[in-house]
Amino acid sequence: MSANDDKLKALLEEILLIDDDQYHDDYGPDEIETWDSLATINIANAVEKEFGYSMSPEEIVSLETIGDIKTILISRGVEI
Amino acid sequence: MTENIARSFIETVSRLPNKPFLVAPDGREFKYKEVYSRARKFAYVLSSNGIKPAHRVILTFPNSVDYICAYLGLLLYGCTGILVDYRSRPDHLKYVYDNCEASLMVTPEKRAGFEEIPGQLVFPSNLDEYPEIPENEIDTDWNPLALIMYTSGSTGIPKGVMLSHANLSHTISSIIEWAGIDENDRELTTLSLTHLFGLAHIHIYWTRGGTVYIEEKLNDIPDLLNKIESERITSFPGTPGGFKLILDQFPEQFKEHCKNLKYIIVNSAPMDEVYIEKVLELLPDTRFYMYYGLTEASRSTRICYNEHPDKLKSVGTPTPGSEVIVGTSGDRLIDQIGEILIKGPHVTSGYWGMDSSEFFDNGWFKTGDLGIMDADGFITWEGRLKEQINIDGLKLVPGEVEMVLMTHERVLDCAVVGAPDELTGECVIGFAVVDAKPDKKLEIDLRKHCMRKLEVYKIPRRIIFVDEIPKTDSGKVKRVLLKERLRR
Repeated sequence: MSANDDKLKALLEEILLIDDDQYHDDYGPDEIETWDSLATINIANAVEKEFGYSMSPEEIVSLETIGDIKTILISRGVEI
Repeated sequence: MTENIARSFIETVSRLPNKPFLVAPDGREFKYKEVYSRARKFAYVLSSNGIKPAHRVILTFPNSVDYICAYLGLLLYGCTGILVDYRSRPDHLKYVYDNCEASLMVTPEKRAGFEEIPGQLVFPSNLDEYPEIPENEIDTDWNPLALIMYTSGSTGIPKGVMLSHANLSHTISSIIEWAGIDENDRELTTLSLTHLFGLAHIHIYWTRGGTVYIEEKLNDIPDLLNKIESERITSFPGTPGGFKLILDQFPEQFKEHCKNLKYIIVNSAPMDEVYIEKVLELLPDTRFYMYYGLTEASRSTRICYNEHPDKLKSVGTPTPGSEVIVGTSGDRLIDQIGEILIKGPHVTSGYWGMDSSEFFDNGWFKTGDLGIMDADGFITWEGRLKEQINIDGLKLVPGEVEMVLMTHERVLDCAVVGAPDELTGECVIGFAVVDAKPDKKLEIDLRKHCMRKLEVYKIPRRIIFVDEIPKTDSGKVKRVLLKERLRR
């Protein structure tokens, strides 16, 4: 697991209160009860603070899984 | 108009049997006569499970056509409905079940963790195969009590607000009168239909013969905005938090796709003036209403901001039939802050199974809300007399969260307050005294502990570790000091 992956995991644990076994790329609001629209906004804000990348509104609404967050970060040159 | 809200529906069925009443999220349309038939089949299911008129039946569903059919079915059969948010925890449902002495709890599916609640029935997936209850068993005259809605009390113990058909019927006719809703209206709703704001709109539409597009929640905003335009929606009710999300992220799409809306209605929590101005600017031809009320006295005031651009802080004047004052029944205040009191045919008679006299002052319902009435009769909401926290319309009191935090083995003392939040109006912040190292890991552990026992919106956004919780000599938490600390 890379340092950036650790950072993302810690960030999602704090916002979504997920356990280690819920940190899966294909997990989203259907699997994680605390992931509502407000949590999505909080994730976007935390990603900006942690990784320095500000998501567009279109990217924010397209966040359906943890894997989607990683895909956006990778496309912006963040190694995960 | 008849006083029984199910009878109003039957009258609309006979007038407009082939008109679409409900449209499911996947686009399936259900005509008035089809919903009536499904509701009667569900009434048969109730009857065949030993339920009798005036029995209390809990429904706990996400927004769906099945839920509305179940709700109508129980009303047609003369039962009293107890509508509980689908996100509620088993402990809350068990409490409600016992408190109202329910006979049955109906859910859309079996749910792990809810097994201990007695009298459960899964909504039949093969409902179409059941017969309809005979017309002579439809009972809309005998039981005056339509609903018991549970709200958080100031002690954290939920209270069942009793709402009669007459209460609800008055609210329906009042809204129809001032908002001008008719059978040509088409509403798209993302509001939880187990709460009175969203549900009352369903009542209005089935009374007038309009069409309601049901969405489970405010999820894919661009898709919803497209739907508003493509389906020629005329009404879009929402919470302030929901509109903030839309206005912050998709103002252009909102302007483009919503320009033909006849009206927007906001309720449940105060809305920042900046956002009200934004809606008025983006949709100048859409009437923008705000109303104020509580479960106990729904829609007690209203305002159309297009007509009163100088009163954007106000929640308006009393709705037809309602009387609203500030102060006490013997000392009415103008331009001074005091408790908001409400009287009218829409006001509850009290709470299920308890002496409710302390909540009334000479026939006026004491809201526990603070407000100011100006010389023109416009009310401005100023906050809560007690300590309730309002998360974009979802309410809780600190005691609910404090009781759970105190059950954590590391917590010695705690207190919870509401803090201002840009998106949801308020958020929950906890303060805790612990007997362990107060670090991030413990904070997350405490929040997870809350998550296991509480609805998601009640989980503290942050927990701040302190050496001591400030208290009065009599042991009451000095929440004002904690809130001041947050402002520093």
